Amino acid sequence: MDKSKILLVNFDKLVQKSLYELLCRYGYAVDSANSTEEALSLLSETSFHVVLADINGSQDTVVVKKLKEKTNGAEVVVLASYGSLEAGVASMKIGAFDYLVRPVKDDKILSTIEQALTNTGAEDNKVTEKNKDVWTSKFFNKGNTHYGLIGNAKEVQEIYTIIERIANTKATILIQGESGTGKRVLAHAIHKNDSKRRHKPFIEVSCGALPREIIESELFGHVKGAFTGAINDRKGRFELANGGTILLDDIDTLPMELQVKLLRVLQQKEFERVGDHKTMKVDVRIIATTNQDIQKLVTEKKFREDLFYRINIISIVMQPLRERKEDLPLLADHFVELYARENHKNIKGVAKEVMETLMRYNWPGNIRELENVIERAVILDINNVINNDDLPEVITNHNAISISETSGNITEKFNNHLKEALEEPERVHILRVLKEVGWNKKEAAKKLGVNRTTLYNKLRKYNVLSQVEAK
Amino acid sequence: MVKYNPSKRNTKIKSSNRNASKDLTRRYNKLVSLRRDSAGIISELCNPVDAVNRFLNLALEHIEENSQTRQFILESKVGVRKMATLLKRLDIYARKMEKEMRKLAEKHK
Repeated sequence: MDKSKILLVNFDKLVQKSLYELLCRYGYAVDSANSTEEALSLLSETSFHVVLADINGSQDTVVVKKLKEKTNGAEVVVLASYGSLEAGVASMKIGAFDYLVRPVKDDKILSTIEQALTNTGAEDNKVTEKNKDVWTSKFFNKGNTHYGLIGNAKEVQEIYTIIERIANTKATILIQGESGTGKRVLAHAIHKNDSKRRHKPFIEVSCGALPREIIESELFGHVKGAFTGAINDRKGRFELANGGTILLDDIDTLPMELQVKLLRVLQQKEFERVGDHKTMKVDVRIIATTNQDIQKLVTEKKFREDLFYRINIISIVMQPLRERKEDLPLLADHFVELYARENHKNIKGVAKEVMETLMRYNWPGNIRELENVIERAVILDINNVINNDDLPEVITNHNAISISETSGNITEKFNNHLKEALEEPERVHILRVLKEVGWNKKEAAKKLGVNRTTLYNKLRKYNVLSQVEAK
Repeated sequence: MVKYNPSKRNTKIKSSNRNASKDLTRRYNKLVSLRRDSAGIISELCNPVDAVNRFLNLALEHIEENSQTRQFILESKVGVRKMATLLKRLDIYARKMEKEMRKLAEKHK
């Protein structure tokens, strides 16, 4: 995708720098000229899609006229300060596309540029919500991407569409998915894509990490003297998130008694601080995440049904990495670039065989695991190209048999009890050790610290005995 | 009995007209300089306020949610917004002065 070119003309140095940073961030190619002569000479050499010009006085309308003559179809957008409104209006009369009065909001500048691009017919180059991430993943480091989400898989594309549709709405969102699939990143993306809320707080509450006794006070706040140790009034997370977004991570761990209170916040956006009778009203978008099968918890009466229906207005399921492996090269490249920059290393990329190894692996820890593996590889690398030696053994030793047998169905995994969930790593470990010792069961049992009968029993239990025998 | 002296009265009227004209000129000049100063202040302050606001927005994108630095930046944004409002008010005031200047100029004619 060619980037749209924008020329900044006659701006004060500070303003010029801020506009440069902003427009680069949004994927535009930006050039600047400190004088009209410089701008005219640049315009004769290169074609630009939009010219952003500063207007200081009425005489500058002449400059706009000159620029307009030289721009060859590009649109001229004028930025006028309060003191020179007339000049802005006059420039419109002589052909400027629009004029903006400074101080101007970034959104306004960006939307005007997009409109100008549509006018020039360069809309294919403009930054759309969909392609924004492609370049952001190239240009910006961790946490700085507008979306933070990376991927071309169909499922991810669908998520991009959902994010666009739910922007600027009050809808409560439930994000489901295994650990490490990027639920939090998605919540961030939703917040950042909401023009009304993006500059307001984004408050994260890890429901599972907060002790049961203080969770109510954490969420809703308390007044002085509400309980022993409440020496001051304290705002709760809902109050802090007012106007913005609150992320309730692992909502399934929320105690039943608090689920009722949360239901009221969801329905009426009202609550009381602990120990207070005054009802507080907040305007908050609620995003809840879970790595459990919440519907199953409802049937087991571990999660309130009414709350489930209340949070399940928009439900997004994050696919595990093993089910969207087509995105793995893109993600790997992104993390290599990110950690190479962070660790001041000149890594050219990932060797082909490494990518094959990565593609073969099952990624039980999902994108978080991939990120950690790449970070480690970048730090350990000495050849400027990541090769198999830089990867941890757990990945390089992984073989085809374990892949096919460990890649289970997501819903199946969600339904697993702890005992069942622990069986899977056990199976993987047994198969890995067997491979290491050349499929010798006696050796494997010795290495595993179990007797041969136990190993046979385990292999039978996991239905892999015949396959192992055949090796 | 005081005799009516038309020439004396004319002199009085002339002198009072001259004083009014002087006063108008003084007011006009005062407004011109005020208008010029406020336009200059607006123009000079608009640039840094605009740039600082943009940099703060960019900084917010880099800073972790819930951090204290973020709170500080949000507070700074409130300050910048206040400055922008003041500039807007000053501009409105300057425009009012301009109107008054025009009225005075008409009277002066």
